[in-house]
Amino acid sequence: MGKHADVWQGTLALMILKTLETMGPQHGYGIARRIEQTSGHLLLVNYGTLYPALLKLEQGGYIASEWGVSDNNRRAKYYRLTRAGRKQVERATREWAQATEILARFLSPEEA
Amino acid sequence: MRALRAALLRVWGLLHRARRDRDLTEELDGHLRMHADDGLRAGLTPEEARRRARIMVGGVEQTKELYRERHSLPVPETLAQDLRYGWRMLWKHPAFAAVVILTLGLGIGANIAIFNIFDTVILRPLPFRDADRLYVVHEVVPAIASTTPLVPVNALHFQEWRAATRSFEDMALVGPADYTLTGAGEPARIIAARATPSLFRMLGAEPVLGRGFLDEEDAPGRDAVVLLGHDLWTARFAADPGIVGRAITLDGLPHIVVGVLAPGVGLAKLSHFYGVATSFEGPQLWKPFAAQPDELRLIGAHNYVAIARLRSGVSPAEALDDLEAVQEDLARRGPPRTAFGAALVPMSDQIVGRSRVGLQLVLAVVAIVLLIACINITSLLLARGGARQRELAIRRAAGASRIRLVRQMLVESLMMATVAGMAAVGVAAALVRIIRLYAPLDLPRVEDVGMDARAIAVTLGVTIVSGLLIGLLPAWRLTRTGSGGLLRAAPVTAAGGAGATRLRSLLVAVQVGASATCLIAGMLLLNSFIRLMSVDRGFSAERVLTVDLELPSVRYDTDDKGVRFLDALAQRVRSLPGVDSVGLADALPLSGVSRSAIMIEGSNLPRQERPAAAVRRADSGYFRTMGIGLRAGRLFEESDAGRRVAVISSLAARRLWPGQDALGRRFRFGPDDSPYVEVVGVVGDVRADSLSQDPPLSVYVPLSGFFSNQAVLAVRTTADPRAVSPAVRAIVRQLDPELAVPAARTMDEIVADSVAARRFQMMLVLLLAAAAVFLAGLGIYGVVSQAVAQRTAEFGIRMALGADSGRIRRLVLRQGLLPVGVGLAAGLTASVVAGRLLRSLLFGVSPTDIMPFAATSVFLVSIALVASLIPAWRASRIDPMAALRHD
Repeated sequence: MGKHADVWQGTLALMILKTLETMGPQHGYGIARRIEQTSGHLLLVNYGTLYPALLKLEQGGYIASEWGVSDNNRRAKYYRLTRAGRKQVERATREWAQATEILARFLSPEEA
Repeated sequence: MRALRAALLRVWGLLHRARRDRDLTEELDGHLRMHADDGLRAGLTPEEARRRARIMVGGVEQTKELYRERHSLPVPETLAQDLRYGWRMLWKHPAFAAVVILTLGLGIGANIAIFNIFDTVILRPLPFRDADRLYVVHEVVPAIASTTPLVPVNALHFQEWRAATRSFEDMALVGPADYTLTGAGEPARIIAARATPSLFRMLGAEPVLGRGFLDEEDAPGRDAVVLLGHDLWTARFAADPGIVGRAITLDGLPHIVVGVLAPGVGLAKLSHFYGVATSFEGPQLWKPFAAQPDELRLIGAHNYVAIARLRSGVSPAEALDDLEAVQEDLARRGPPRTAFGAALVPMSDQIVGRSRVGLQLVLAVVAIVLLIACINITSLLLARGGARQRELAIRRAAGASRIRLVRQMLVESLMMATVAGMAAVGVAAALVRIIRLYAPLDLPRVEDVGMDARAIAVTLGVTIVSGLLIGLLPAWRLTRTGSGGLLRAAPVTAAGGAGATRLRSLLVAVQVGASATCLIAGMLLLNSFIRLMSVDRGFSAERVLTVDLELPSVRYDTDDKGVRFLDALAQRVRSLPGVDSVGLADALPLSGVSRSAIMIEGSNLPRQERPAAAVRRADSGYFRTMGIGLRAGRLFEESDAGRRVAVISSLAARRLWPGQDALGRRFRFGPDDSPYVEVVGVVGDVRADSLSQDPPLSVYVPLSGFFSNQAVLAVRTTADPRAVSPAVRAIVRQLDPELAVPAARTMDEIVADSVAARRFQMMLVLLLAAAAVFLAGLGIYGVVSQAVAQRTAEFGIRMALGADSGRIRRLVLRQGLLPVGVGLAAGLTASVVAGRLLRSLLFGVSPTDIMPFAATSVFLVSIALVASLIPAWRASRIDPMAALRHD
């Protein structure tokens, strides 16, 4: 598939949730496109990983789905964030920030 | 919580597969089209756009598969698939499946039947309230403790315990009894028991009709009341509830029925409660104990069973101390050098203890038979599996996980096992019924045996384990990787290669070892039985008819009446044609007889140090009729009437007057005021209690001088003893029409009955061991045949190079017998260890006797030879040219 890396499952879930928080309700294709854009096209979202991830989030109650009509008048399944999902985004964002900070301290050059 | 929600949704998802598939397809299609649309907008041609899209988004099928796995639970879905596939495979080979199901069905069924018996007799808690606090109390008399460690209980001692100890909530005393029931159908001897009123309370066995005994009824003169057992009530009194309050006639005296016990309640067989050998059967009705004055002597008869319920919070050790304190006190009140101790045996140990080892042995052997059968099936599956290896290799190459394939093969074997398991339930039920009805089992609680929920649960367990057992090894081996070679064009030999043969040979070794152990156990039992039957009994059982007589003391209230009746009876029977001799006694050999302390003239040993002898009352004809030989002196004669004489056994003579002539000596027995008797003769020793116990010291006194209401008539005939039975009974009826005469038995029957249980156990174990050996033989045959098929090409080459058929045969035999040898060695070693566990079942045979080991080895090697010779012979007939062309 070229030099594009496959996306890691756990981060994919967070990315999906964040995307929905930012963009509002969206269908699967739209979410995939958005993630690819946000990552500056360093990530390639394979729909083999996207749809199972969407299903997992839906089963966990973080997102909800319903059928609607897309821009080009096609039937598409739209996903939106639930309240639980919103809380999860906040919490996961906080945790990531903390983890990054701790790691940064390890990796930064020694203080004089 | 989230996980639970997700799991529930996945279960829900099981039900909506079709809709989900549709939805997903639509969603994925939409995604693809939108990607293509974007491409169009970017200026690509429609085909190019679609192509790029398809590449970008990845494989549809794999996505669907991943989605599906996530959506519902993968196992149930694929399981349904496995089941369908398995079912098809079984129908493709119905003969094989039938053999497997039949073998497993029989094997599992037999196991469940034996387990059910074991469970009911040994594992199940006793049907008494709080049974683990119930104990049987025995007395210990230190002076005779080396020969008789446990002594039955004395009634006075019991009363003292009851009054003086504080560790027991309650205590009861039980003793055997029998009465003649008249006025309700044919007069009959009813086996009964006497019990203190506390017994039923203690056991939680309240009557289902009426009431139990009152304390005031537990006294002589006030005890003309009975509790009917449920079976007797149904059989003799037509389950009439009106019987309560009415009188029945026992031994000629009216007794009021105060209640009826619930079915299955009470003590099943009194002899189980004694620490010494007795032959008291199950009581059918109960009277209050009502101890007579002569039973309440400090130094008196020890004939009864005491059962006690421990107070909660008291340990058995404390209770024992409490009891022994009372015993010491009692001993102090008696003559000097009296000593009594006590022993507490938990109720369950008392009842089932002696049956445990025997049942464990049978259970172990039948389980081994099932194991060997399963190994045979596994071996078969391994052999047949070779043909499936290609199919399995292809599936693995296409991406199926090993677990999946193993699981599928396990499903197949589990399916066969399940069908077998269902059949096994029926087999077990039938076997249990047959055993219960026809098998002579001296087991407590065997009446309760029957298929129940627990047995069914165990069937399920055993079925699953068997199914897994037979399927696991083949599944594991056949789904191994390294199967690249199997995808060659050339067909593989069906058997799966040398590795499989080695494995199967190992299995054969296990089978041989296991069946060797079973066979040795069976032979040890057989040897024991043979020894037992050939032991010197001291009497001759051939052609002797015996008839039990109970002369009710109401009508035979004087000794005179009784003696006249017996004399008349003996005389008339003696004059019947075909009668050789007639004898009378109060009990026959092998019927267990109580002991009395013997006091020889001139000695002043305290009672408890006196030797104890079995006292029998007999007439002079008894010895001749029973074939008991005279060693010195003479037997009873007419002239002895009025004199106090006795005949003693050789052992008694040696023990009581060592090194001296016993003739003319005097001794007495029984209460201290009884008269001395003079020894006039010495006879041979007789096994009075059972064949397996040494003859006791025996003393015989004339029936006329020491009359007993209980007598037995023995008739030695010239031809078949049963032929005179009707004539004898007619004579009895002539002399006294109201006498209940039970069926006559021959002495041979009595001897056979006394060892019936042991014989049955031996035959069962031998039968099972034979089955084990047979199955192992089949296993050997299978493996050797397969090895021959595999090595056909090799044999062909050998023969072409000059090997003769004899050499080929030897080669095959060597390969076939090697695992047998290994297995046999292992089995013999295991038997040496295991044999020790069987010691309690053996008689006159040591567990390391050479004979069973030698016989088993010879037998197994012969079977192995036969099983190997057939394929070996086939191998030697191979046509080298055909073999070399065989691929």
